[in-house]
Amino acid sequence: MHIVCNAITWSRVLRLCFFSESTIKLIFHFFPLLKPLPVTALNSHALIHRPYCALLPHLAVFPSLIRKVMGGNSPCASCKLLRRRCTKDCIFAPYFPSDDPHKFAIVHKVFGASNVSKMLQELPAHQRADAVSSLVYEATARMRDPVYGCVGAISYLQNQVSQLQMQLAVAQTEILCIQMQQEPPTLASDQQMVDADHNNPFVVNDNLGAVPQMMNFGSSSSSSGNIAQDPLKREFLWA
Amino acid sequence: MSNYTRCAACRYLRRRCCEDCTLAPFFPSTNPTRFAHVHRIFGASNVSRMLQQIPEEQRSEAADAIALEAFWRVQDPVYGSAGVISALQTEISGAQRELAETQARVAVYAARARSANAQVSADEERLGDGAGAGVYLPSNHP
Repeated sequence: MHIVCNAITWSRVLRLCFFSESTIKLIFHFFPLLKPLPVTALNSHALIHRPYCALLPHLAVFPSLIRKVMGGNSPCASCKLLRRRCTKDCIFAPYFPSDDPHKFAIVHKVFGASNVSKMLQELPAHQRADAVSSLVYEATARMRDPVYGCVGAISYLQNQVSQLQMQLAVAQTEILCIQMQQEPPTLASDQQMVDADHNNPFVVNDNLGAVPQMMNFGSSSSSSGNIAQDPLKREFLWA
Repeated sequence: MSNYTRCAACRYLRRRCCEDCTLAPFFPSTNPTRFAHVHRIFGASNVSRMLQQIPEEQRSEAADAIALEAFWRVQDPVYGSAGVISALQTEISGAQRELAETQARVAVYAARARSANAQVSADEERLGDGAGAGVYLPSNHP
């Protein structure tokens, strides 16, 4: 059963299939008769969703045109911005698709395409996606805050860590004060309580004279990111 | 002969360091590594352009921030300063958890101390009443 859709012309179909204007112009240049003709198809829905099948009979004459029309390699965002040919082994292509040109634009503005390319080439392939994400994050932070960039956020977080450590110290001192107000503990019972408390964060016993293992203020916090105590970085930050 | 020494940037780029060099105030010749990192990550022209777009009074801090970001990126080529942020956020979560636990312990200890004090007061009152009421001593009547 044939459905003739006079309202749907080839130009509209091609646009719906996300062909660029330049490609559409090229098609109509070679097939001028197509332009005013309505689409005749078994089902316009199928045509829209299988455009290549519908167009194949008309385009089979020119294989190179087919490749171009079928959307061979559309340039990645970086090659589009840099106005160069996007090769198959373009290092940016997997990470900067053409549908998000803003991402590469920011990275290029802050770091430069050649620097990003060198950085990515030095990394193993499985880490490049994460590297690109972090570069985009840094570049975005730098665009938002041209003076401090990411360092502003790091400074804020370090302040937060310091405040939390102070609050922790105050809370631990409170516990000590409460316990010192009670009966003074004997040395033997202190040692027993320290041993008992070693693996139990919550002291559950009746001996209120126990000395808690909390004298190391802040040392129990995670040591992996204790940036504030790194002397080199502290010198950088507070110089 | 001039005593003017080239800044770290011009020395690294092997060019003449003029008097109005934009990078000279921020990359002194005493610390060549600082500029090497910055040039490797951002590029000299990018840094120069970024600094020129910032008001003069804030350029020193901006240069320090750029140098720090470059340093972290050289240390961790994958995550750079984003890795530092992530580590700090982890540390904050751990510290918040520990603070909550410690404050809970404070509450437990304080409650125990209050109940112990209340018991001691009650005992003292009971003992006091017993003494005040007195043990009945019958008078020795002849």
